[in-house]
Amino acid sequence: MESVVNRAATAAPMASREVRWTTVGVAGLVLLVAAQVYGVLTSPPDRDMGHLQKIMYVHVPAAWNAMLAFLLVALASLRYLWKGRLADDLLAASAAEVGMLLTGLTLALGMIWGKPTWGIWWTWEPRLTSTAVLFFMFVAYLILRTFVDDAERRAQWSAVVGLLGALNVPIVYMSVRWWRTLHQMQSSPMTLDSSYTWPLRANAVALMLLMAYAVAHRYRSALMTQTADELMDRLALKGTPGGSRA
Amino acid sequence: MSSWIAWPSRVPPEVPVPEYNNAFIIAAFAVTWLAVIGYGLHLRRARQAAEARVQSARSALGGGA
Amino acid sequence: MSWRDDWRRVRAVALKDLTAERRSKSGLNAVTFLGVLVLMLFGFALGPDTESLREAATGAIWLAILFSGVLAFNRSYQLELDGGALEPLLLYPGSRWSIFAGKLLANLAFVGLVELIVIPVALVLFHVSIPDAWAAQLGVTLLGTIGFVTLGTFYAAMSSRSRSREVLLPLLLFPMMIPVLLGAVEASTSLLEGNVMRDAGAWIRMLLVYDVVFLAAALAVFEFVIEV
Repeated sequence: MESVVNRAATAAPMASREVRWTTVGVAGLVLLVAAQVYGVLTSPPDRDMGHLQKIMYVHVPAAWNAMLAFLLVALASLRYLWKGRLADDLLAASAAEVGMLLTGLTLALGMIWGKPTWGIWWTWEPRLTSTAVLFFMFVAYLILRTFVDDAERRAQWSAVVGLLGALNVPIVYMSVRWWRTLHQMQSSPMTLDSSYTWPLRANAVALMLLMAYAVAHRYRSALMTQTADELMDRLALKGTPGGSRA
Repeated sequence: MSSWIAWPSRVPPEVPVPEYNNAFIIAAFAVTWLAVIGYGLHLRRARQAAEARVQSARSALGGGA
Repeated sequence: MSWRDDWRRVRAVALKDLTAERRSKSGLNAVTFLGVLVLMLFGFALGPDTESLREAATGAIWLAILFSGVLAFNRSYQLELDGGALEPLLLYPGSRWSIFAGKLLANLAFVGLVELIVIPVALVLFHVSIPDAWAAQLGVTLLGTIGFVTLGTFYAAMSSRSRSREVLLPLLLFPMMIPVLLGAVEASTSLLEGNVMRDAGAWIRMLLVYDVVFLAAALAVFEFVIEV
């Protein structure tokens, strides 16, 4: 708790860090535009899907980065339980918010891709279904946070929920895959032609940079809010405002 | 859309490229950019709210830092 | 020695919860009735066709258990919260996980009693005859119930002490229940049909792994949940 206040009080290093993150964000944005243009213009039409293949350049990076965001939530939660720093909880929450956006985006893009290729908006395909479960877990995590007022309690509980959710993800994936294969629905192994790999990687990296920027930005806003709330609390308690230089 | 650089195509020349509704491609990219820009706006709003709160805390403490 | 102390604590908490439940009994009756009601609604929704009812039976049973059981878990902490008894309970010496284990046992008994009514009613309503592999069927039900009650008891420790707990618990719990639901329904269905293709054994192993993983995880992190 103390460290949050002190860290926010030392504004100078934060400002330079802010500039660095802005660079990451701008780079991500530029790279995203470039990678999308590159992918759309250069990749040949797919044998079965034609130009629809290009949806892959937004759908797959969103899915990968959503997994990454979830990993970040789990790691930050673990670190919170270990060290007990509220900042880690705020980091987990920021990652969860971005993760919810990315899983939602993955689902929406999956539907847009599925309708013309398979003729259906939704299929109970393991990856798609697991993403939906992941989405619901992100939502539940964020809703839990809004329902708990005490910062300590919110941090403790949401860290635990984030960790158990992370444990559940592989089990959900395995069980849904089993469920599908046992019902004689052949899964489609994605063998990617080499002409698609580089645009895909570029898009994934671009989205990852943007995600890092978004998480960092959201995290710093959360830290600022947290600091302000703590100052107000001290004022309300008529304590000495120790952390501030007033 | 034909490739403007020589690129190994997976489609042999005699096979016609399957025709699909390109509206889906446009929709996919539009949704992506909507999400990116929308979340960017959300980030800015969150930052403004945080800054306002820090300001009010500072002024409540008396004159700020 | 300390192992025996822990067990005594677990038993004390479980017996306390069960006694409170037995004295009031209103909770058990209401939850059981709700489970049967859900089964009736499924019957109406699926239509009177015997064949389709029979096919959907295991799914309907499990959804009835989930929807009625989820109401039991918040109750399990509600009694203590209303009486302001949670803090004294935490003040007693000994490990925190024993409180969780005790409540888990009590809730297992509670949900087991609900199932004792709901499952036979479902067999009648959905025209399912008692399968030959009834022992394995019971095992599947037990494994599924353990997974359900473990996470239900665990999340209820949070949801019962937060705002709008009625919404929060299913929201937290049901996404986690998807492997249990899949495993229990698939294993039960394949046992009912005597269908070797669906391979009940694999699902039973999956349920076993799920139970062990989440039982261990819940016991390990329960103190983080109950302390604040």
